[in-house]
Amino acid sequence: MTPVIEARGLGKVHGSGEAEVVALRDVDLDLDHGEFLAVTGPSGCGKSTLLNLLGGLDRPTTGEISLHGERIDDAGEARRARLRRSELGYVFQFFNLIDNLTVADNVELPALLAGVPTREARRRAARLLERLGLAETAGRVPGSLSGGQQQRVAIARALVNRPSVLLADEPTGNLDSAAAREVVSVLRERSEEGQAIVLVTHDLRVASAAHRVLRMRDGAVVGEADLEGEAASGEALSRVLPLEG
Amino acid sequence: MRHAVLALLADEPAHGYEIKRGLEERFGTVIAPLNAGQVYTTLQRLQRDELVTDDAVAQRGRPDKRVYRLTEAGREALHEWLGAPSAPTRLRDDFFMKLVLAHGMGLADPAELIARQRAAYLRSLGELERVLAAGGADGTTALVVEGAALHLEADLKWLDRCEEELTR
Amino acid sequence: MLRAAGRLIRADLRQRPFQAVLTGLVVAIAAAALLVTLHLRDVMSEPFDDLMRATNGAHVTVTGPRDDVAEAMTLAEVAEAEAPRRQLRVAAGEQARGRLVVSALPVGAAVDRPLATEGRLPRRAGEVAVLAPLALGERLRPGSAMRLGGVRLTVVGVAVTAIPTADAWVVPDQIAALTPAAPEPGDPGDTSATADTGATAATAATAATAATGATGATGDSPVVFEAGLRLRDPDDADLVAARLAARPSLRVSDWLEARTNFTEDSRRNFAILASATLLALLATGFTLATAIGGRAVADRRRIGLLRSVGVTPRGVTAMLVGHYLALALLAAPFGLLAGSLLAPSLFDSSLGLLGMSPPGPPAPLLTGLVLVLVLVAVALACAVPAWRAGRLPPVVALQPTRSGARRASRAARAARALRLPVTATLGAKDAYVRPVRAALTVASLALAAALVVCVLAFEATIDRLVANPALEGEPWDMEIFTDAMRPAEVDRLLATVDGLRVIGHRYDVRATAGGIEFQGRVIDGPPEAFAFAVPEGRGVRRAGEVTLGRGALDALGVEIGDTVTLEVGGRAFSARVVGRHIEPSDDGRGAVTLASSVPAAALPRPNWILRLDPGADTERVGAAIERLGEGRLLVDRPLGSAEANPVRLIVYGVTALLLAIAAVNLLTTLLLGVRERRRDLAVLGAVGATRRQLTRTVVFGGLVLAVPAAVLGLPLGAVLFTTIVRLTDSADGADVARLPSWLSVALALPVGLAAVALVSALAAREARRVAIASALRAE
Repeated sequence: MTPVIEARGLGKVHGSGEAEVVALRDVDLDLDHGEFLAVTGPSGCGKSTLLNLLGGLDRPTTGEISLHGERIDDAGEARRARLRRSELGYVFQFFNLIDNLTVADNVELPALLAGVPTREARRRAARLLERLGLAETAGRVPGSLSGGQQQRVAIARALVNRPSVLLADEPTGNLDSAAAREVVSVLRERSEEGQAIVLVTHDLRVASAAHRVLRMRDGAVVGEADLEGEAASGEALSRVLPLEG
Repeated sequence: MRHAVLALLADEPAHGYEIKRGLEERFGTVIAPLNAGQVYTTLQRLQRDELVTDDAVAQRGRPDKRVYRLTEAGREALHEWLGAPSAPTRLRDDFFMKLVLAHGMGLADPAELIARQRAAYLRSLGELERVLAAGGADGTTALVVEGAALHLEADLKWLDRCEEELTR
Repeated sequence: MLRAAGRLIRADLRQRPFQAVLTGLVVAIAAAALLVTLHLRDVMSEPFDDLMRATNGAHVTVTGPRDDVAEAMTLAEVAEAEAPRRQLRVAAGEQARGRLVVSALPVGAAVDRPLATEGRLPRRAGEVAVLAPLALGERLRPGSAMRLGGVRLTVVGVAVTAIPTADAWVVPDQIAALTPAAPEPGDPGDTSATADTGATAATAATAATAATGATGATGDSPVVFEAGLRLRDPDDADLVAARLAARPSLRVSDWLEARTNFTEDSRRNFAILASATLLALLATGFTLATAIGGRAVADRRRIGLLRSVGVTPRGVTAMLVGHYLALALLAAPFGLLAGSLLAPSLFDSSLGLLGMSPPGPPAPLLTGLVLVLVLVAVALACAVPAWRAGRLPPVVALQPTRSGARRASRAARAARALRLPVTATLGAKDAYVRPVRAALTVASLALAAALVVCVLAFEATIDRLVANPALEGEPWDMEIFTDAMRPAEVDRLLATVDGLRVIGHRYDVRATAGGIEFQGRVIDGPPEAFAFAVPEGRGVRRAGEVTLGRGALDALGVEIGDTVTLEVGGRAFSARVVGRHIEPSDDGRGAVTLASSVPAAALPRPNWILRLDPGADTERVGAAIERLGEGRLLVDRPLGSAEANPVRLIVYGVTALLLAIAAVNLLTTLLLGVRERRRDLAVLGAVGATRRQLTRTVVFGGLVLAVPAAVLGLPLGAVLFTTIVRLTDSADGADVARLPSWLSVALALPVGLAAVALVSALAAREARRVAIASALRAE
């Protein structure tokens, strides 16, 4: 089956002449249906740039990206916006919820922008909030929620239009460890239900939830780890405390 | 395991299987399932070192059960163990040796070794994270898991450094 | 401290040049408006006052028999007077078409010396100087020839006096040689109560009882005497004039009345300008408050830093106010320059008549005063928001992020309840995120809407006046004047003209009642065809009835239903007041009655008033009549729409100014909103809003501000218009003014909203420039 996302030879250069900065060089990437991919690396390695390119927030300098087999890197602004509505869901480090709209309003926003009728949008939002355990926050403003709750609202918002791919850029960067674990749980659950996810993070503990982990440095992919190979046997756990002697 | 057994006998004497159960209760999830043989072997060794003694307890129709208790020396050894700081964790010498030898003697590609190790660490890390997320460990156990996870993180970082150094 | 402030200001100008330009523009407009208004107020009567000075103008002029005039000169209040000069009514022109009043020139250091605006005054016989409006109308210049009283004279100059009592001046010797025109009832000096009884006005004209050179003979002399009186206390002029007017033989004018008439146009313009300037200043204040409020938010951090290094709240306030004062100081001179250049063009209309040049540009002192006023106004507008900005604790100001709203936007909730599209909801919540700023913008837009309503009302009123001349006190389609043809001739001629529905006579007389003089119009014709506009009571239908204008009613102290005794042409008659008619001229001091009410002998030559067939072409009928009359008939029509043009200039000009200010205010608010909500806009982009949807958000924001502004502004405009009308025409304004039809408002509303959408679209361009990725990455 064709991968959901196919990217070949992606490159991104900022500035020009002496001030030229190469953010990405010759990156290839495939994302299969239902795959949970993590991209890690030190800050400045280009992982966020890569995510921006995949999400259509930026255009590559070189290379191509295909979504469901169709080229998107050369799409116009309007088409890219529509893609962001229907095919790609975005989650950010700083939640980026609109602070003077209620949680429910925030979640249904992408649906309304896509032209979904109000009632249907409301229904979808309510269902998502329910699934993520946020049903009782629907009428509150984001500012009154904890960090973990806000990020989960952001995830709900990203999922309301049933996107093919969920893109998450350092989603736990602004959260304490407990909240971060909540969020990673949610992502893992979604992944188990078949959602394709690309997660950018510098936190390996977060990355370990993925099926596959890409490592980047200086704008290039320098390593890949497949975490699905050996069954999760519970072995690691039992090895934690060696009680010999 | 020896110090753990000493500690479990600190309060009152206990049978072998009670000690086994005590260990399992306190450390259940994070240790491999114990078999009685391990426990009894440890008890015997402790007896040999005169840190515990046993008293036989008669049982009707069964062999005598042994009840173990701490000796004075045993109690001292326990206190020493509790009082002194534990040695810091040791490196995974096994892997390090593998790496150095493979690199030095051209036996295997260091990059591959490192990649495989890394994948293994990540997998373990993922498991631990799942445990923590599922709340499948209570307070004390959670701490242990957390500690392990942090160690894994450190190991992964170390792998990066190894990679930098050895794959130039 | 000053240097730090200077640096801040320069940095801001460099960073946000567009906003600084906008703010400066608004200040410049306000300065220009204020300067023009104050200047107009100052110089309204300046030309007139200059003329009084230059001519040693009379405070009161009396005209009549020599003895009576001489007696008037001896009044206690009189400070200066000359020997009475002869005044003569003569037939003028080659075909003796018109009748003009010719005066002898005063001798010596006279009172009421005509001032030559072209050429010179006559020095010897054979020379004549003519009044400026006459010269304009008849195209006479120095060197032209004209025939007066049967004598050929050469025009040597064009002259004016403060109180227009004569049409032409000659040397005293010359006046004796002129043939006086036949006297008519109602001419000054006619004290006879028993002229040929039963004789019509027409036969009186042929009597030609020329009393050449006769001086002072009572009864039939067309030669009267005129004297200009200068009073000890010029302000007593109206009282003195009233006293003198009680004497039937005298005709009296005073300078206060002349001045009021002269400034009538200017006063009306001033009322309009003053109201508009006030609104403009208000709107400017709103815009400044909006701008500074926005600065305070955008510069929170900078202000916080300043405060944390020890600048006091007062210091911050001073810096912010100082910043805007500096901006105003830069911008105001441009506005003052524009105002100085603009001001003179507002005076042209009335001055052409005097042949005077318009007053010069505003004096430096006034300009300086206006500059100071503008700076004070700017400081006041900035004071409160700047003070609030200064009071912000440094800790709060330095916080990197907004703590977030505490409550969901009510505007958003309202928009959702109204089932508006999601872009409207987003636009609404952004527009009202700062209620105070939104309120200021709504107020500014409401003022603009109100003024547009005023403009529409103005045009509607003009249309109404044009369509119904009765509202100007002229209920006819055409007027015919002649001195050269006999009335019977004219009647015969008019009977042959196509397109005339009704032909009537109108006698313009001076009526006196209770010692007060006012103009009277005596209508000889079917009263239904020439129906005056009568807001109270009814029009005259039969003999013995009269309607009065508001001024006459007030002056006489009578009410509808009372009977008054009027004197026309020396004959008295009584009539019952049946109604109040609309009388715009002379403050409503006018009377209308039928010819059958007035003793025939009292009536002078008639003028003709015509009603055309519906659909008849006025131009063609008028041209036909002139042709038939062979130049002896003067055809005139009542008010045409073009006559309103000078006022139109001011009204439209002022409206345009205020619309500009409102547009700037709206643009500022929306731009500030976009800048402050950059992150939200980026979020919208990230979740898939297209550029067009973002634009729509901002445009809806503007519309959501405009709708309540329209709701407020429309009734406000109605109130404003009726108030201004009351100020400019207290007598009949309320009856005449018309508010715009619902249709015109319904048409104007979408245009207004479209304009708002356009301005919003400009702000939306800023919204589209938000770079999504970087905006969301930053804290």
